[in-house]
Amino acid sequence: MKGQRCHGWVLMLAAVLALGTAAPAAAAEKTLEIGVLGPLSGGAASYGVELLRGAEMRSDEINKAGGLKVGGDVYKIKLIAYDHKASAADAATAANKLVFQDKVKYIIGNAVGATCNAVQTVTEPQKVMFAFVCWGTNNLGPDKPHSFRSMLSQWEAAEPFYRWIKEKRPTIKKVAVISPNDTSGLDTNTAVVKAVKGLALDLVSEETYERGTKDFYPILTKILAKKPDLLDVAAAPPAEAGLILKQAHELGFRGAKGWTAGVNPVTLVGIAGVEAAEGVWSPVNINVRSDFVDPKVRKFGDEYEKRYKEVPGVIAVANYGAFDVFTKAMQEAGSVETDKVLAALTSRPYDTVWGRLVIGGKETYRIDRQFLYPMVISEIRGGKIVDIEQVLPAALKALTK
Amino acid sequence: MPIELLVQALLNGFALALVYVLVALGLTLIFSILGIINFAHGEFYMLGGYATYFGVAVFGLHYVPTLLLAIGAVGLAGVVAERLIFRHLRGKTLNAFIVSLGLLWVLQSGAQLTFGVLDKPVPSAFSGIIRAGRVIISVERFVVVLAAVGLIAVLYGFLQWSRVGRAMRAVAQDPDGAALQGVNIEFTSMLGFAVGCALAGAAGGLLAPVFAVSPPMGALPVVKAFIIIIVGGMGSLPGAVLGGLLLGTVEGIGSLFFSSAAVNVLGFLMVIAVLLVRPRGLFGAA
Amino acid sequence: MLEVTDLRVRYGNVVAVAGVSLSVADGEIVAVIGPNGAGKTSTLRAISGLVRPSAGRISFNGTDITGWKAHRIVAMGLSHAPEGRRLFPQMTVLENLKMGAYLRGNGAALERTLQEVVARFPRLAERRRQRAGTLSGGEQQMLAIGRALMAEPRMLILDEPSFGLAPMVVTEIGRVIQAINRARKVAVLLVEQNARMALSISARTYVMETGTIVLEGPSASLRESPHVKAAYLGG
Repeated sequence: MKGQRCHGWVLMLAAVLALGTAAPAAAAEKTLEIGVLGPLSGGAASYGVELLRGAEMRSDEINKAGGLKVGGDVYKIKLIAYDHKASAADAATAANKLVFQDKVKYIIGNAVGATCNAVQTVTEPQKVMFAFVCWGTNNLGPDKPHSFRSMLSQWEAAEPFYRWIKEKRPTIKKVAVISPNDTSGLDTNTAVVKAVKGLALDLVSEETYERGTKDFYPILTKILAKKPDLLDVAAAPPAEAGLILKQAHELGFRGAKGWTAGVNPVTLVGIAGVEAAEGVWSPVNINVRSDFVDPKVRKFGDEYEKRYKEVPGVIAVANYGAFDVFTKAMQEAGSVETDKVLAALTSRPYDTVWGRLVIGGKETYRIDRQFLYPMVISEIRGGKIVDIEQVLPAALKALTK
Repeated sequence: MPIELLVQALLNGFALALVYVLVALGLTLIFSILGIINFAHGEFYMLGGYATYFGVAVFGLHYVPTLLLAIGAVGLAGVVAERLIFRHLRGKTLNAFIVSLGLLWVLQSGAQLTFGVLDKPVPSAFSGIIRAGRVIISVERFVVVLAAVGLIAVLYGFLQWSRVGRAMRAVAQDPDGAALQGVNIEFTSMLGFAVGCALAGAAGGLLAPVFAVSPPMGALPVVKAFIIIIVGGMGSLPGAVLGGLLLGTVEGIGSLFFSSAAVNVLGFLMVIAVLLVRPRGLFGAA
Repeated sequence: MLEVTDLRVRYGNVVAVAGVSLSVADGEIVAVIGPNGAGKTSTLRAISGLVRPSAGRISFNGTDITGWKAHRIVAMGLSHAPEGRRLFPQMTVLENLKMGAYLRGNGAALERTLQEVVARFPRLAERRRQRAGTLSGGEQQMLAIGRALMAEPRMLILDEPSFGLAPMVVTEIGRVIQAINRARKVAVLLVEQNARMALSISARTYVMETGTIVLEGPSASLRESPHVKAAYLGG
């Protein structure tokens, strides 16, 4: 009797062990590691935080739904994120780590122009797919076939934005523009200057500042002496744009305000104050609760807010969209191999959080690597963001005709 | 160039330079009493900023009492830092350099983890602008300037006429000599360190509504403070004030002609120029 | 009043004071003479708490003060005008004097002491608003003694008050020390390289060489000692 019970015990133990080791094997899934880069600290930290959260939102959705089904395989997505503090040197280090140490084939998410250039020196030779929201003009090109911009840039936004301004407020003649003095800032200024001159407006001042500047009185004193009708805080990140507008208001500026590369106006209003932020127009920013946006954006916004207790800005939406597009392209290709995904990406439009999204931009960048979607011009009124009109980037207009 | 523009530029430069003088005075006070340079000094400025943020934006207190509380809180933080760390480093310049750099990273990363990386706005208690012809200053900055000048005056009076202030000067000029008059060196050093930190905290609290607060906010003022005390002379209060006014002039006027990146270089050029002529700074003891 | 027993002071491996015993009675002037590096200054620094003795016992007025911090010893009534004077050069003469009374607070008594000190050193009164660093050597020494007196001490330690001064000034300093001793019943422990002055104003003298006391006795008899004559009084 005693011996039999002992046998039973051993059998049970063996069964448990067998099941225990067999169970994970049966549900064996592959893991797809995807890199996310961005400034997670410092003056441009809000960009990095939004990039990471956008990526988190989509990858968690995919994982909760059982993983990403590509061909016959199911992948759990795992994010690997590094902070590059908006510094090109740190970005190169982080990209090297992602590509050579973590062996990722996809980096979805990065911001601040100069850091994109640094990352591309690693990703392009290694054929690593790279999606970003950097605004550097040369971040896209035939020499960089694996690089995609997942957000409208100044080249898509500036011209329709200023055309709209000219029509809406014909009294605005004199324009001043200010941006940080690095790649994305200078490129944004260039695009704005081109749009302003193309529309026969008068560019009275074009200034740049060092990232991390807190006191804009000196620059503003110079700018305001030129008496602009419109001050465009073009590529300034939200906190710095907020300081510029606050200090311009203190120095007596009461003209119109634009933010060509405007993202996350909530932060801007917080820093500038309701009064100084009143009336800021922005073409690329997005209000997730607006009537102009796709219901999917609104849903994304609600869930984002529930999860992070903050309202998402355009960068969070853009990186969520980029994640969506890339993973859909993997499914379309039936593979996670980058060549096949690359081919799938450029082959057809995708329905995403933006609505219908086309990857185009050949006439500006000589290669179709720019995400194109309708943009909404918004205005800050009483500290709230109000969307007033939807306009199409010229390239999208041409494609949809 | 219109004269108003010049006056406005000078005003811009002076307003902030006076706040940086507060940071510089704290740094130079600590240097003269303990013989060390605290590279984490800017982090006490940051703590003053966050203390103000919590008082005003989180707990909804009025700005003025919050500022006073913030100054006191940062002073206390200074006491803790002195007791735990810096008292052991008196006169050990190199050790203090390394340890304070470490403290800088600990405080900055700690702030990132605790307060988050994003800039936090601090609502301003003062609105409106003061206009004289075409020269403009916001009431907010005007109050900041007044407060900075007031604090500099209070510090001067404290060091000049109070018993403890005189003891601090005595320790700075001759620690043994001071001990033989009955000055408790350890206690006085701790107090001096706390006052130095409180000055940085005051500067952070004053500029918190002007610039918003963020974990790396201490980096810029501490660089300005170094320029000010190298130009003015280590350990000299009038030197720091003069250094601050010079920096304000150079940066204010310079900003009319150069880009903001180049203006930052002007301060360092001024340092080089002064060091070539007077290696110990304008008011430095020989 | 002061009782030092078998005092030893070392800096790292270097022994500066190797077992010194000395005493000063109430109202007495006692001198310590000896060559450079004999350990005289180290002995004084140990007595007033600037260095911790490695061994030995120091008692002042019946209280064991061995190893106390300097500021507590000052509070006991022991003032030390140190070697090199250690004035506060950026402070005015008046501020230096006030620092001397750091532990006494403000009040009428303080003002009276100030009047007394200034009366004793009229030059200080003339230069009360001048920075201490700009005074002449003799004036600085007077200020150092005056500052030590501001604490109304029961005992005064003077380290090389004649150092670097002209012979006439040395004589004057010697007279002042005697006057203070008489007028205020202040005991004085005087360390000097100027043996002639020290022997002439003190009641008893210790001769210190390489960290130990080699000779002691009434100053009048030491003046006749062949060793002292040969080594310290120039034959």
